[in-house]
Amino acid sequence: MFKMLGQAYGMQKNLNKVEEFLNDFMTFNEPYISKSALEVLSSGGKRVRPTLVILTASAFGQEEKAIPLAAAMELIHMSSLIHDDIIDGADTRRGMPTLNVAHSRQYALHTGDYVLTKAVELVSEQPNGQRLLSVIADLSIEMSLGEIEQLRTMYDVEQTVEDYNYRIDRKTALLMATSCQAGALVAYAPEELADLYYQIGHNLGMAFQIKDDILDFETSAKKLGKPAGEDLARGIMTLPTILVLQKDFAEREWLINAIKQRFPGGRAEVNRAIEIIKEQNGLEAAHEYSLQYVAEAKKCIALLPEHPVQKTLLAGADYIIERSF
Amino acid sequence: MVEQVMLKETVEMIRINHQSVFDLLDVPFYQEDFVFFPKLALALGEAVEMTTEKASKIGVLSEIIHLSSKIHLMIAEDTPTVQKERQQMQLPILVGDLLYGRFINYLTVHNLEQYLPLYLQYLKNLNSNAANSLREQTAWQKDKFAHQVEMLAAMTVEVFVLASAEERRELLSAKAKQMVTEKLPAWVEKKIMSLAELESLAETEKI
Repeated sequence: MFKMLGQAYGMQKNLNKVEEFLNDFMTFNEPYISKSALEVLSSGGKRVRPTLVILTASAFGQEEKAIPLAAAMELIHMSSLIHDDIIDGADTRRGMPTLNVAHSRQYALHTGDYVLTKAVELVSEQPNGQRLLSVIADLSIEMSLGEIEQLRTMYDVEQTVEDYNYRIDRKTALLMATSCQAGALVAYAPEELADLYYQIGHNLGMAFQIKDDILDFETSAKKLGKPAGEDLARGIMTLPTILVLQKDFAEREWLINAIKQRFPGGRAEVNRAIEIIKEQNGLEAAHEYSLQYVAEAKKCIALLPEHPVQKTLLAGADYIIERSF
Repeated sequence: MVEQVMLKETVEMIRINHQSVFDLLDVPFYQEDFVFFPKLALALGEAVEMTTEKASKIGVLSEIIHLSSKIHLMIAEDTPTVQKERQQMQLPILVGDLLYGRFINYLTVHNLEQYLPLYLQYLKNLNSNAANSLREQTAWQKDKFAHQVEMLAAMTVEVFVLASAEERRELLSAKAKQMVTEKLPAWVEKKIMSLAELESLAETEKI
């Protein structure tokens, strides 16, 4: 997404530098961990967070200075994915075996911890490092709280839209918000401007995750790199499901029971649940929420000082809604 | 008294949304998990004549990262039930991550960032030792909890070495500044000294 925009708006050179930085940085003097970390890095990924860092830093002419920080944000994201894969019992990520499957849970955990430690080290060495550390600390705490809450509410059919917002804020929006804010902070931008970038990233992040959750229902396993309806099958109540469960319709009881009993009928039952949610316009209803967040992001973007980065952010906001993977 | 303050801070750190790690996790905690590092910090602080306030902050810092590390070392490979999976694997991973975030937060709130490189070195060593021993099937794994405590205790010593050097530097700087303030006015009077005066001064017992 933003990689594409990076190409369109002249950031590709710096994004390539982030990639080079990451590959060099991960070749540290720990052969096992380094090899595993490089495998995870090379498996792909949209590189949304580093793109946002570079993008916002470019608004202050500091894109080159922001390259290590952009790499750090990707490493923070990467370490959280490694831990998520253990927690979820995921066999693959982006078509590659996860570290917990290729080796063991404990090995994957320690690799993720090592990568996170290196990321924190990198952040602390950047301009405005003290402020950035404080931001990273808050991020780490809130992300963990969000994941704990997600575990606690699995298969919980009573969840509200507020509950969902709490989770996705911490799961996705916060890291994107922090990435935008960080790009401004490393450039020593005024706090109110850094906060505005935070709000932009936050709204884009919320829209991004809602779209992800919509795509989970409608995209094939091949395209997404994971089975469709996987979140529902695992008991994660996303917005389309929550919105449908708020309605009154004939198969509501069946859907509630299927979820609460954790789909005893297996994949066939999950597929029927997906069909019901689609029939009840759950995806369209969720789409409306994502449009609201994008509109909010665009309002914040309009408040920025005039700069080409506004155009890129607006294009990114539109792409979030239009993307199919 | 100061031990109680440190323990209360620890209790707050392990509180997670109206519950504590004791409620959430099915892993064993011992009394020493909560008292060793505070006691160590106070003992080290006393040895280098550091204020108890500063020593206690470092003690809490080491305590938080100890709990984060230990909880991560405790995650289970085999979890045959949904409940065990949640309490012995999933939640320990997340709680360990949360405590790590609180460790960094505590560091920044109390202006202890200068010690971060040492703690990060401890974490890198711990995780690389753990990962390597898993791959190579070495005996490190068998005694991993003991190794973790030893490593962190050693690094806490390094933190105190650095912290006490800073305190001494501050004391000595203050002393030097006081002397400059006292002597400079007379110095800038620019009273020129002769050799005879210098030799006479050299004969006196005290200058």
